[in-house]
Amino acid sequence: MTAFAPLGRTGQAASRLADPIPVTPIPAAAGIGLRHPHLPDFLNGGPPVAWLEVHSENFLAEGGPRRRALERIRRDYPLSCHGVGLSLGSAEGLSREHLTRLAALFDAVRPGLVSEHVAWSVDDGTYLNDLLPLPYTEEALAVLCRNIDQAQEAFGRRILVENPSSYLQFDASRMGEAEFLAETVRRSGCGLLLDVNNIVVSAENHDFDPFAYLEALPTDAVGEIHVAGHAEVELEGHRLLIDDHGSRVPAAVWDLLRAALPLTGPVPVLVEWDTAIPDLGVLLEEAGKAQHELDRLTAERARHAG
Amino acid sequence: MLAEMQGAFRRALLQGEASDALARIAASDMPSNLRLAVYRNNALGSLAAVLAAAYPALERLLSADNFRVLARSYVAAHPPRRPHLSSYGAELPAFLPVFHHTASYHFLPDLARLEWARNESLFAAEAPVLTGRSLEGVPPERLSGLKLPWHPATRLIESPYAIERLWHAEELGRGVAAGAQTVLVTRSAEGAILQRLASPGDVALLRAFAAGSDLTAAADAALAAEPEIDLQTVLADHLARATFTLPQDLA
Repeated sequence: MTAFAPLGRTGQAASRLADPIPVTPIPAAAGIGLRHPHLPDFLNGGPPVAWLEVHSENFLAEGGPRRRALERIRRDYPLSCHGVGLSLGSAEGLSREHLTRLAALFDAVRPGLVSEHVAWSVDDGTYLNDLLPLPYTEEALAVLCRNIDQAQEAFGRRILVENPSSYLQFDASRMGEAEFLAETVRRSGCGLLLDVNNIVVSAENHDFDPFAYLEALPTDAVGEIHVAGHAEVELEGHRLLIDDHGSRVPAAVWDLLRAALPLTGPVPVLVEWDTAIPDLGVLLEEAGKAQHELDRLTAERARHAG
Repeated sequence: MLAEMQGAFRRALLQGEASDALARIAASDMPSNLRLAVYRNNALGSLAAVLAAAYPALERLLSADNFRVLARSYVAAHPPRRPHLSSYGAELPAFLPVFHHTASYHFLPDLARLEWARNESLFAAEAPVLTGRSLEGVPPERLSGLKLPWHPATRLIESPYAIERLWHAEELGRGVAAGAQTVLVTRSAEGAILQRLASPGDVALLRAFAAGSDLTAAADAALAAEPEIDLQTVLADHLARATFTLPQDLA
Protein backbone atom coordinates (compact mmCIF):
# COMPACT_ATOMS: atom_id res chain seq x y z
CA MET A 1 0.00 0.00 0.00
CA THR A 2 1.39 3.35 -1.03
CA ALA A 3 1.36 6.19 1.46
CA PHE A 4 -0.80 9.20 0.72
CA ALA A 5 -0.81 12.61 2.30
CA PRO A 6 -3.34 13.01 5.12
CA LEU A 7 -6.20 15.35 4.37
CA GLY A 8 -5.96 17.31 7.58
CA ARG A 9 -8.75 18.10 9.99
CA THR A 10 -10.85 20.29 7.75
CA GLY A 11 -11.84 17.32 5.58
CA GLN A 12 -12.13 17.08 1.82
CA ALA A 13 -15.26 19.09 1.16
CA ALA A 14 -14.11 22.11 3.12
CA SER A 15 -10.67 22.22 1.49
CA ARG A 16 -12.29 21.92 -1.92
CA LEU A 17 -14.49 24.93 -1.29
CA ALA A 18 -11.54 26.93 -0.05
CA ASP A 19 -9.42 26.09 -3.07
CA PRO A 20 -11.55 25.02 -6.05
CA ILE A 21 -9.84 23.37 -8.99
CA PRO A 22 -10.41 25.33 -12.19
CA VAL A 23 -11.64 23.42 -15.24
CA THR A 24 -8.57 22.85 -17.39
CA PRO A 25 -9.25 22.24 -21.09
CA ILE A 26 -7.70 19.07 -22.54
CA PRO A 27 -4.93 20.16 -24.94
CA ALA A 28 -4.64 18.86 -28.52
CA ALA A 29 -1.72 16.71 -27.38
CA ALA A 30 -1.02 13.10 -26.45
CA GLY A 31 -2.36 11.85 -23.09
CA ILE A 32 -2.52 8.50 -21.32
CA GLY A 33 -5.12 6.59 -19.33
CA LEU A 34 -4.38 6.83 -15.59
CA ARG A 35 -4.61 3.34 -14.06
CA HIS A 36 -4.28 2.23 -10.42
CA PRO A 37 -0.78 0.69 -10.73
CA HIS A 38 0.58 4.06 -11.88
CA LEU A 39 -0.94 6.20 -9.11
CA PRO A 40 2.33 6.10 -7.10
CA ASP A 41 4.31 7.30 -10.15
CA PHE A 42 2.10 10.38 -10.31
CA LEU A 43 1.99 10.97 -6.54
CA ASN A 44 5.75 10.74 -6.17
CA GLY A 45 6.74 12.79 -9.21
CA GLY A 46 5.40 14.51 -12.28
CA PRO A 47 5.78 12.17 -15.26
CA PRO A 48 5.93 14.16 -18.52
CA VAL A 49 2.51 13.78 -20.14
CA ALA A 50 0.16 16.53 -21.31
CA TRP A 51 -3.06 15.17 -19.81
CA LEU A 52 -4.71 12.15 -18.20
CA GLU A 53 -7.94 10.22 -18.57
CA VAL A 54 -9.63 8.00 -15.98
CA HIS A 55 -12.56 5.62 -16.05
CA SER A 56 -15.14 7.56 -14.05
CA GLU A 57 -16.60 4.41 -12.46
CA ASN A 58 -13.25 3.58 -10.82
CA PHE A 59 -13.47 6.68 -8.65
CA LEU A 60 -17.08 6.74 -7.42
CA ALA A 61 -16.41 5.43 -3.92
CA GLU A 62 -17.14 7.85 -1.10
CA GLY A 63 -13.53 8.13 -0.02
CA GLY A 64 -10.25 6.31 0.38
CA PRO A 65 -6.71 6.55 -0.97
CA ARG A 66 -7.57 6.17 -4.67
CA ARG A 67 -10.07 8.99 -4.68
CA ARG A 68 -7.64 11.15 -2.69
CA ALA A 69 -4.86 10.35 -5.15
CA LEU A 70 -7.04 11.38 -8.09
CA GLU A 71 -7.95 14.69 -6.48
CA ARG A 72 -4.29 15.38 -5.80
CA ILE A 73 -3.04 14.35 -9.26
CA ARG A 74 -5.82 16.42 -10.82
CA ARG A 75 -4.15 19.55 -9.47
CA ASP A 76 -1.12 18.87 -11.70
CA TYR A 77 -2.73 17.54 -14.90
CA PRO A 78 -5.75 18.30 -17.10
CA LEU A 79 -8.18 15.41 -16.61
CA SER A 80 -10.74 13.73 -18.85
CA CYS A 81 -13.44 11.49 -17.34
CA HIS A 82 -14.32 8.52 -19.55
CA GLY A 83 -17.40 6.57 -18.47
CA VAL A 84 -17.77 2.82 -18.87
CA GLY A 85 -21.02 2.18 -17.00
CA LEU A 86 -23.68 4.74 -17.87
CA SER A 87 -25.18 2.45 -20.52
CA LEU A 88 -26.34 5.15 -22.96
CA GLY A 89 -27.99 2.48 -25.14
CA SER A 90 -30.28 1.03 -22.46
CA ALA A 91 -33.95 0.88 -23.49
CA GLU A 92 -34.96 1.26 -19.83
CA GLY A 93 -33.19 4.65 -19.57
CA LEU A 94 -30.35 5.78 -17.34
CA SER A 95 -29.90 5.20 -13.61
CA ARG A 96 -30.69 8.43 -11.74
CA GLU A 97 -28.44 7.31 -8.90
CA HIS A 98 -25.53 6.76 -11.25
CA LEU A 99 -26.02 10.11 -12.99
CA THR A 100 -25.98 11.81 -9.59
CA ARG A 101 -22.78 10.05 -8.52
CA LEU A 102 -21.05 10.95 -11.77
CA ALA A 103 -22.16 14.58 -11.52
CA ALA A 104 -20.70 14.72 -7.99
CA LEU A 105 -17.38 13.31 -9.25
CA PHE A 106 -17.27 15.90 -12.04
CA ASP A 107 -18.00 18.67 -9.51
CA ALA A 108 -15.02 17.48 -7.48
CA VAL A 109 -12.41 16.95 -10.22
CA ARG A 110 -13.75 19.41 -12.85
CA PRO A 111 -12.79 17.37 -15.95
CA GLY A 112 -11.95 19.10 -19.23
CA LEU A 113 -13.81 16.38 -21.16
CA VAL A 114 -16.55 13.88 -20.29
CA SER A 115 -17.17 10.91 -22.55
CA GLU A 116 -19.10 7.62 -22.75
CA HIS A 117 -19.69 4.78 -25.20
CA VAL A 118 -22.28 4.06 -27.88
CA ALA A 119 -23.13 0.77 -26.22
CA TRP A 120 -25.28 -0.69 -23.47
CA SER A 121 -24.43 -2.62 -20.30
CA VAL A 122 -27.56 -2.42 -18.11
CA ASP A 123 -30.82 -4.35 -18.41
CA ASP A 124 -33.47 -4.76 -15.71
CA GLY A 125 -31.22 -2.80 -13.36
CA THR A 126 -28.45 -5.38 -13.77
CA TYR A 127 -24.99 -4.19 -14.81
CA LEU A 128 -23.22 -6.63 -17.15
CA ASN A 129 -19.74 -5.00 -17.00
CA ASP A 130 -19.23 -5.13 -20.75
CA LEU A 131 -19.91 -2.74 -23.61
CA LEU A 132 -22.59 -4.50 -25.62
CA PRO A 133 -23.48 -3.48 -29.17
CA LEU A 134 -26.70 -1.84 -30.32
CA PRO A 135 -28.74 -2.74 -33.37
CA TYR A 136 -28.65 0.22 -35.74
CA THR A 137 -32.38 0.98 -35.87
CA GLU A 138 -34.56 4.08 -35.54
CA GLU A 139 -35.69 2.82 -32.13
CA ALA A 140 -32.13 2.41 -30.81
CA LEU A 141 -31.23 5.84 -32.19
CA ALA A 142 -34.18 7.44 -30.38
CA VAL A 143 -33.26 5.65 -27.11
CA LEU A 144 -29.60 6.63 -27.41
CA CYS A 145 -30.36 10.28 -28.17
CA ARG A 146 -32.89 10.52 -25.34
CA ASN A 147 -30.31 9.09 -22.91
CA ILE A 148 -27.54 11.39 -24.19
CA ASP A 149 -29.89 14.37 -23.71
CA GLN A 150 -30.55 13.29 -20.13
CA ALA A 151 -26.82 12.86 -19.40
CA GLN A 152 -25.91 16.22 -20.95
CA GLU A 153 -28.69 17.81 -18.90
CA ALA A 154 -27.55 16.14 -15.65
CA PHE A 155 -23.87 17.08 -16.19
CA GLY A 156 -24.64 20.54 -17.54
CA ARG A 157 -22.25 20.01 -20.43
CA ARG A 158 -21.79 18.44 -23.85
CA ILE A 159 -20.39 14.91 -23.80
CA LEU A 160 -18.43 12.92 -26.36
CA VAL A 161 -19.66 9.46 -27.36
CA GLU A 162 -17.27 6.75 -28.56
CA ASN A 163 -17.72 4.59 -31.64
CA PRO A 164 -17.87 0.97 -30.40
CA SER A 165 -15.84 -2.13 -31.19
CA SER A 166 -17.96 -5.24 -31.59
CA TYR A 167 -17.85 -8.98 -32.16
CA LEU A 168 -21.35 -9.41 -33.63
CA GLN A 169 -23.95 -7.59 -35.70
CA PHE A 170 -27.75 -7.70 -35.59
CA ASP A 171 -30.26 -8.84 -38.17
CA ALA A 172 -32.43 -5.92 -37.05
CA SER A 173 -29.94 -3.22 -38.13
CA ARG A 174 -31.32 -0.93 -40.83
CA MET A 175 -28.37 1.49 -41.23
CA GLY A 176 -24.62 1.40 -41.08
CA GLU A 177 -22.70 2.24 -37.91
CA ALA A 178 -21.16 5.44 -39.33
CA GLU A 179 -24.60 6.67 -40.41
CA PHE A 180 -26.01 5.80 -36.97
CA LEU A 181 -23.24 7.79 -35.28
CA ALA A 182 -23.64 10.76 -37.62
CA GLU A 183 -27.38 10.85 -36.87
CA THR A 184 -26.66 10.60 -33.10
CA VAL A 185 -24.36 13.61 -33.28
CA ARG A 186 -26.84 15.58 -35.43
CA ARG A 187 -29.84 14.91 -33.17
CA SER A 188 -28.28 15.15 -29.71
CA GLY A 189 -25.60 17.77 -30.28
CA CYS A 190 -23.00 15.55 -28.60
CA GLY A 191 -19.44 15.22 -29.88
CA LEU A 192 -17.57 12.13 -31.03
CA LEU A 193 -14.75 10.32 -29.32
CA LEU A 194 -13.11 8.65 -32.29
CA ASP A 195 -11.53 5.34 -31.27
CA VAL A 196 -9.41 4.30 -34.24
CA ASN A 197 -8.51 0.98 -32.60
CA ASN A 198 -12.23 0.16 -32.37
CA ILE A 199 -12.56 0.83 -36.09
CA VAL A 200 -9.66 -1.51 -36.87
CA VAL A 201 -11.14 -4.22 -34.61
CA SER A 202 -14.70 -3.97 -35.97
CA ALA A 203 -13.57 -3.63 -39.59
CA GLU A 204 -11.67 -6.91 -39.29
CA ASN A 205 -14.46 -8.68 -37.36
CA HIS A 206 -17.21 -7.56 -39.76
CA ASP A 207 -15.18 -7.29 -42.94
CA PHE A 208 -15.57 -3.62 -43.87
CA ASP A 209 -13.12 -0.95 -45.07
CA PRO A 210 -11.92 1.10 -42.07
CA PHE A 211 -10.93 4.08 -44.23
CA ALA A 212 -14.36 4.29 -45.91
CA TYR A 213 -16.00 4.07 -42.46
CA LEU A 214 -13.79 6.91 -41.23
CA GLU A 215 -14.77 9.13 -44.13
CA ALA A 216 -18.48 8.50 -43.50
CA LEU A 217 -18.22 9.86 -39.94
CA PRO A 218 -18.93 13.50 -39.02
CA THR A 219 -15.23 14.08 -38.33
CA ASP A 220 -15.77 17.78 -37.54
CA ALA A 221 -17.58 16.62 -34.35
CA VAL A 222 -14.53 14.67 -33.09
CA GLY A 223 -13.29 16.10 -29.79
CA GLU A 224 -10.83 13.34 -28.87
CA ILE A 225 -9.17 10.28 -30.39
CA HIS A 226 -8.31 6.97 -28.70
CA VAL A 227 -5.53 4.63 -29.77
CA ALA A 228 -4.85 1.24 -28.16
CA GLY A 229 -3.72 -2.30 -28.84
CA HIS A 230 -5.90 -5.32 -29.49
CA ALA A 231 -5.45 -9.10 -29.45
CA GLU A 232 -5.95 -11.59 -32.23
CA VAL A 233 -7.60 -14.89 -31.33
CA GLU A 234 -8.64 -17.93 -33.28
CA LEU A 235 -11.97 -19.54 -32.32
CA GLU A 236 -12.55 -22.92 -33.97
CA GLY A 237 -10.59 -21.79 -37.01
CA HIS A 238 -12.17 -18.32 -37.19
CA ARG A 239 -10.03 -15.24 -36.68
CA LEU A 240 -11.37 -12.50 -34.40
CA LEU A 241 -9.81 -9.29 -33.06
CA ILE A 242 -10.46 -8.68 -29.36
CA ASP A 243 -10.44 -5.09 -28.09
CA ASP A 244 -8.41 -5.83 -24.95
CA HIS A 245 -6.22 -2.67 -24.67
CA GLY A 246 -3.44 -4.97 -23.59
CA SER A 247 -0.48 -4.24 -25.88
CA ARG A 248 1.35 -1.54 -27.80
CA VAL A 249 -0.58 0.32 -30.50
CA PRO A 250 -0.19 -1.75 -33.70
CA ALA A 251 0.74 -0.36 -37.13
CA ALA A 252 -2.83 -0.65 -38.50
CA VAL A 253 -4.06 1.67 -35.73
CA TRP A 254 -1.28 4.23 -36.29
CA ASP A 255 -2.10 4.13 -40.02
CA LEU A 256 -5.74 4.95 -39.30
CA LEU A 257 -4.74 7.72 -36.88
CA ARG A 258 -2.59 9.21 -39.66
CA ALA A 259 -5.63 9.12 -41.96
CA ALA A 260 -7.96 10.55 -39.29
CA LEU A 261 -5.96 13.56 -38.08
CA PRO A 262 -6.16 15.56 -41.34
CA LEU A 263 -9.97 15.10 -41.17
CA THR A 264 -10.42 15.96 -37.48
CA GLY A 265 -7.70 18.56 -37.17
CA PRO A 266 -5.57 18.73 -34.01
CA VAL A 267 -7.46 17.08 -31.12
CA PRO A 268 -6.40 15.33 -27.89
CA VAL A 269 -5.10 11.79 -28.58
CA LEU A 270 -5.21 9.21 -25.76
CA VAL A 271 -3.21 6.00 -25.39
CA GLU A 272 -5.41 3.44 -23.59
CA TRP A 273 -4.01 0.38 -21.79
CA ASP A 274 -6.28 -1.72 -19.53
CA THR A 275 -5.07 -5.32 -19.33
CA ALA A 276 -1.51 -6.57 -18.62
CA ILE A 277 -0.65 -2.98 -17.67
CA PRO A 278 3.10 -2.34 -18.20
CA ASP A 279 5.46 0.13 -16.54
CA LEU A 280 4.47 3.75 -17.00
CA GLY A 281 7.49 4.25 -19.27
CA VAL A 282 5.91 2.03 -21.96
CA LEU A 283 2.75 4.15 -21.97
CA LEU A 284 4.82 7.34 -22.18
CA GLU A 285 6.67 5.88 -25.20
CA GLU A 286 3.36 5.20 -26.94
CA ALA A 287 2.18 8.70 -26.06
CA GLY A 288 5.40 10.01 -27.63
CA LYS A 289 4.48 8.29 -30.88
CA ALA A 290 0.98 9.80 -30.78
CA GLN A 291 2.49 13.22 -30.11
CA HIS A 292 4.75 12.72 -33.13
CA GLU A 293 1.66 12.23 -35.33
CA LEU A 294 0.07 15.40 -33.92
CA ASP A 295 3.31 17.34 -34.51
CA ARG A 296 3.45 16.08 -38.07
CA LEU A 297 -0.11 17.31 -38.67
CA THR A 298 0.81 20.74 -37.32
CA ALA A 299 3.90 20.90 -39.52
CA GLU A 300 1.94 19.90 -42.63
CA ARG A 301 -0.75 22.45 -41.94
CA ALA A 302 1.89 25.16 -41.46
CA ARG A 303 3.50 24.19 -44.77
CA HIS A 304 0.16 24.43 -46.60
CA ALA A 305 -0.67 27.72 -44.95
CA GLY A 306 2.77 29.14 -45.81
CA MET B 1 -37.85 -4.45 -29.55
CA LEU B 2 -34.66 -3.02 -28.07
CA ALA B 3 -35.80 -3.90 -24.55
CA GLU B 4 -36.51 -7.51 -25.60
CA MET B 5 -33.09 -7.80 -27.24
CA GLN B 6 -31.36 -6.49 -24.12
CA GLY B 7 -33.29 -8.90 -21.90
CA ALA B 8 -32.32 -11.78 -24.20
CA PHE B 9 -28.63 -10.83 -24.03
CA ARG B 10 -28.72 -10.40 -20.24
CA ARG B 11 -30.12 -13.92 -19.87
CA ALA B 12 -27.58 -15.28 -22.35
CA LEU B 13 -24.62 -13.66 -20.60
CA LEU B 14 -25.59 -14.39 -17.00
CA GLN B 15 -27.66 -17.57 -17.21
CA GLY B 16 -26.34 -19.07 -20.43
CA GLU B 17 -29.87 -19.13 -21.93
CA ALA B 18 -28.58 -18.31 -25.39
CA SER B 19 -31.29 -19.25 -27.93
CA ASP B 20 -33.23 -15.95 -27.95
CA ALA B 21 -30.01 -13.88 -28.24
CA LEU B 22 -28.56 -16.16 -30.94
CA ALA B 23 -31.68 -15.73 -33.10
CA ARG B 24 -30.97 -11.98 -33.30
CA ILE B 25 -27.33 -12.18 -34.44
CA ALA B 26 -26.68 -11.61 -38.15
CA ALA B 27 -25.38 -14.74 -39.90
CA SER B 28 -21.71 -14.67 -40.92
CA ASP B 29 -18.80 -17.00 -41.60
CA MET B 30 -18.21 -17.32 -37.88
CA PRO B 31 -20.93 -19.21 -35.97
CA SER B 32 -23.08 -16.88 -33.87
CA ASN B 33 -22.55 -18.92 -30.71
CA LEU B 34 -18.79 -18.18 -30.90
CA ARG B 35 -19.47 -14.46 -31.26
CA LEU B 36 -21.89 -14.50 -28.32
CA ALA B 37 -19.42 -16.51 -26.22
CA VAL B 38 -16.88 -13.65 -26.46
CA TYR B 39 -19.34 -11.38 -24.64
CA ARG B 40 -20.27 -14.02 -22.06
CA ASN B 41 -16.60 -14.65 -21.29
CA ASN B 42 -15.86 -10.92 -21.06
CA ALA B 43 -18.75 -10.26 -18.69
CA LEU B 44 -18.24 -13.28 -16.41
CA GLY B 45 -14.43 -13.13 -16.55
CA SER B 46 -14.22 -9.44 -15.70
CA LEU B 47 -16.68 -9.76 -12.82
CA ALA B 48 -14.83 -12.81 -11.48
CA ALA B 49 -11.65 -10.68 -11.55
CA VAL B 50 -13.42 -7.96 -9.56
CA LEU B 51 -14.39 -10.56 -6.93
CA ALA B 52 -10.87 -12.01 -6.83
CA ALA B 53 -9.47 -8.53 -6.16
CA ALA B 54 -11.83 -8.11 -3.20
CA TYR B 55 -11.30 -11.67 -1.83
CA PRO B 56 -7.59 -12.48 -2.35
CA ALA B 57 -7.29 -14.83 0.65
CA LEU B 58 -10.39 -16.78 -0.37
CA GLU B 59 -9.02 -17.10 -3.91
CA ARG B 60 -5.65 -18.31 -2.59
CA LEU B 61 -7.16 -20.86 -0.18
CA LEU B 62 -9.71 -22.23 -2.65
CA SER B 63 -7.24 -22.10 -5.62
CA ALA B 64 -7.74 -19.80 -8.58
CA ASP B 65 -9.61 -22.43 -10.60
CA ASN B 66 -12.07 -23.20 -7.80
CA PHE B 67 -12.55 -19.53 -7.11
CA ARG B 68 -13.46 -18.97 -10.77
CA VAL B 69 -16.17 -21.66 -10.51
CA LEU B 70 -17.48 -20.02 -7.34
CA ALA B 71 -17.33 -16.53 -8.89
CA ARG B 72 -19.28 -17.52 -12.00
CA SER B 73 -22.06 -19.05 -9.88
CA TYR B 74 -22.10 -15.99 -7.66
CA VAL B 75 -22.30 -13.61 -10.64
CA ALA B 76 -25.30 -15.52 -12.01
CA ALA B 77 -27.03 -15.48 -8.60
CA HIS B 78 -26.05 -11.93 -7.56
CA PRO B 79 -25.21 -9.85 -10.64
CA PRO B 80 -24.08 -6.24 -10.03
CA ARG B 81 -26.87 -3.73 -9.49
CA ARG B 82 -24.66 -0.70 -10.07
CA PRO B 83 -21.68 0.05 -12.30
CA HIS B 84 -19.20 1.16 -9.66
CA LEU B 85 -17.72 -2.21 -8.88
CA SER B 86 -15.85 -1.28 -5.70
CA SER B 87 -19.16 -2.13 -4.00
CA TYR B 88 -19.66 -5.43 -5.87
CA GLY B 89 -19.38 -8.69 -3.96
CA ALA B 90 -21.04 -7.82 -0.63
CA GLU B 91 -23.22 -10.95 -0.66
CA LEU B 92 -20.37 -13.42 -1.22
CA PRO B 93 -20.04 -14.31 2.53
CA ALA B 94 -23.74 -15.29 2.56
CA PHE B 95 -23.38 -17.18 -0.74
CA LEU B 96 -20.61 -19.50 0.48
CA PRO B 97 -22.88 -21.63 2.73
CA VAL B 98 -25.43 -22.15 -0.08
CA PHE B 99 -22.87 -22.94 -2.81
CA HIS B 100 -22.56 -26.72 -2.58
CA HIS B 101 -18.75 -26.89 -3.11
CA THR B 102 -18.07 -24.55 -0.15
CA ALA B 103 -21.08 -25.32 2.07
CA SER B 104 -19.19 -27.64 4.42
CA TYR B 105 -16.35 -25.17 5.13
CA HIS B 106 -18.06 -23.37 8.00
CA PHE B 107 -15.19 -20.96 8.61
CA LEU B 108 -15.14 -19.53 5.06
CA PRO B 109 -18.05 -17.06 5.45
CA ASP B 110 -16.31 -15.33 8.37
CA LEU B 111 -13.03 -15.15 6.45
CA ALA B 112 -15.00 -13.62 3.57
CA ARG B 113 -16.61 -11.12 5.98
CA LEU B 114 -13.11 -10.05 7.03
CA GLU B 115 -12.08 -9.58 3.41
CA TRP B 116 -15.24 -7.61 2.64
CA ALA B 117 -14.60 -5.44 5.71
CA ARG B 118 -11.15 -4.62 4.31
CA ASN B 119 -12.72 -3.75 0.94
CA GLU B 120 -15.35 -1.52 2.56
CA SER B 121 -12.68 0.17 4.65
CA LEU B 122 -10.62 0.98 1.55
CA PHE B 123 -13.53 2.84 -0.07
CA ALA B 124 -15.30 4.27 3.01
CA ALA B 125 -16.07 7.97 3.34
CA GLU B 126 -13.46 10.43 4.55
CA ALA B 127 -13.66 11.83 8.09
CA PRO B 128 -11.19 13.62 10.34
CA VAL B 129 -9.07 11.08 12.27
CA LEU B 130 -8.81 11.26 16.06
CA THR B 131 -5.08 11.37 16.81
CA GLY B 132 -3.04 11.80 19.95
CA ARG B 133 -2.49 15.40 18.96
CA SER B 134 -6.24 16.13 18.91
CA LEU B 135 -6.39 15.06 22.58
CA GLU B 136 -3.46 17.21 23.72
CA GLY B 137 -4.49 19.76 26.32
CA VAL B 138 -7.95 18.26 26.88
CA PRO B 139 -8.45 18.30 30.68
CA PRO B 140 -8.91 14.86 32.34
CA GLU B 141 -12.49 15.57 33.47
CA ARG B 142 -13.47 16.28 29.86
CA LEU B 143 -11.54 13.24 28.60
CA SER B 144 -13.52 10.87 30.80
CA GLY B 145 -16.79 12.12 29.31
CA LEU B 146 -15.63 11.91 25.67
CA LYS B 147 -17.56 9.72 23.26
CA LEU B 148 -15.28 8.33 20.56
CA PRO B 149 -17.21 7.52 17.37
CA TRP B 150 -15.74 4.97 14.99
CA HIS B 151 -14.18 6.31 11.83
CA PRO B 152 -16.34 5.40 8.77
CA ALA B 153 -13.52 3.05 7.65
CA THR B 154 -13.41 1.06 10.93
CA ARG B 155 -14.78 -2.51 11.05
CA LEU B 156 -14.78 -5.22 13.72
CA ILE B 157 -15.24 -8.83 12.62
CA GLU B 158 -15.95 -11.38 15.37
CA SER B 159 -15.75 -15.07 14.61
CA PRO B 160 -15.67 -18.45 16.37
CA TYR B 161 -12.91 -19.33 13.86
CA ALA B 162 -9.29 -18.19 13.48
CA ILE B 163 -10.03 -15.82 10.62
CA GLU B 164 -6.88 -13.75 11.01
CA ARG B 165 -4.70 -16.88 10.79
CA LEU B 166 -6.74 -18.03 7.79
CA TRP B 167 -6.27 -14.65 6.14
CA HIS B 168 -2.49 -15.16 6.27
CA ALA B 169 -2.51 -18.91 5.53
CA GLU B 170 -1.03 -20.28 2.31
CA GLU B 171 -3.31 -23.31 2.31
CA LEU B 172 -6.13 -24.97 4.22
CA GLY B 173 -4.04 -27.16 6.53
CA ARG B 174 -5.56 -29.23 9.35
CA GLY B 175 -6.61 -27.09 12.32
CA VAL B 176 -5.82 -23.78 10.62
CA ALA B 177 -9.30 -22.45 11.45
CA ALA B 178 -9.38 -23.61 15.10
CA GLY B 179 -9.87 -20.94 17.78
CA ALA B 180 -12.06 -17.84 17.97
CA GLN B 181 -10.58 -14.58 16.67
CA THR B 182 -11.90 -11.04 16.42
CA VAL B 183 -10.20 -8.70 13.95
CA LEU B 184 -10.16 -4.92 13.93
CA VAL B 185 -9.83 -3.35 10.47
CA THR B 186 -8.97 0.33 10.14
CA ARG B 187 -7.66 2.73 7.51
CA SER B 188 -4.62 4.76 8.50
CA ALA B 189 -4.48 8.51 7.97
CA GLU B 190 -2.23 7.75 4.98
CA GLY B 191 -4.87 5.43 3.46
CA ALA B 192 -3.34 2.01 4.26
CA ILE B 193 -5.70 -0.78 5.39
CA LEU B 194 -4.55 -2.09 8.79
CA GLN B 195 -5.76 -5.10 10.75
CA ARG B 196 -4.98 -6.68 14.11
CA LEU B 197 -6.54 -9.06 16.58
CA ALA B 198 -8.79 -7.52 19.22
CA SER B 199 -8.87 -8.98 22.75
CA PRO B 200 -12.21 -9.47 24.61
CA GLY B 201 -11.71 -6.25 26.60
CA ASP B 202 -10.84 -4.32 23.45
CA VAL B 203 -13.95 -5.69 21.72
CA ALA B 204 -16.08 -4.56 24.68
CA LEU B 205 -14.44 -1.12 24.54
CA LEU B 206 -15.08 -0.74 20.81
CA ARG B 207 -18.66 -2.03 21.07
CA ALA B 208 -19.32 0.46 23.89
CA PHE B 209 -18.02 3.38 21.82
CA ALA B 210 -20.05 2.18 18.83
CA ALA B 211 -23.14 2.23 21.07
CA GLY B 212 -22.44 5.83 22.09
CA SER B 213 -20.82 5.28 25.52
CA ASP B 214 -18.32 7.76 26.89
CA LEU B 215 -14.74 6.88 27.84
CA THR B 216 -15.64 6.11 31.47
CA ALA B 217 -18.45 3.69 30.58
CA ALA B 218 -16.43 2.13 27.74
CA ALA B 219 -13.45 1.58 30.06
CA ASP B 220 -15.76 -0.07 32.62
CA ALA B 221 -17.08 -2.39 29.94
CA ALA B 222 -13.53 -3.26 28.84
CA LEU B 223 -12.38 -4.01 32.39
CA ALA B 224 -15.47 -6.12 33.07
CA ALA B 225 -14.71 -8.23 30.00
CA GLU B 226 -10.95 -8.41 30.62
CA PRO B 227 -9.78 -7.27 34.09
CA GLU B 228 -6.07 -7.34 33.15
CA ILE B 229 -6.45 -5.14 30.01
CA ASP B 230 -3.91 -2.28 29.69
CA LEU B 231 -6.33 0.43 28.59
CA GLN B 232 -3.71 3.12 28.10
CA THR B 233 -1.78 0.99 25.62
CA VAL B 234 -4.95 -0.13 23.84
CA LEU B 235 -6.23 3.45 23.46
CA ALA B 236 -2.84 4.70 22.24
CA ASP B 237 -2.87 1.96 19.61
CA HIS B 238 -6.35 3.01 18.45
CA LEU B 239 -5.14 6.58 18.05
CA ALA B 240 -2.17 5.36 16.00
CA ARG B 241 -4.30 3.24 13.67
CA ALA B 242 -7.11 5.78 13.13
CA THR B 243 -9.90 3.72 14.72
CA PHE B 244 -11.91 6.78 15.75
CA THR B 245 -13.04 9.97 14.13
CA LEU B 246 -12.81 13.34 15.83
CA PRO B 247 -15.74 13.71 18.31
CA GLN B 248 -18.15 16.61 17.67
CA ASP B 249 -17.13 18.41 20.85
CA LEU B 250 -13.41 18.39 19.87
CA ALA B 251 -13.92 19.41 16.22
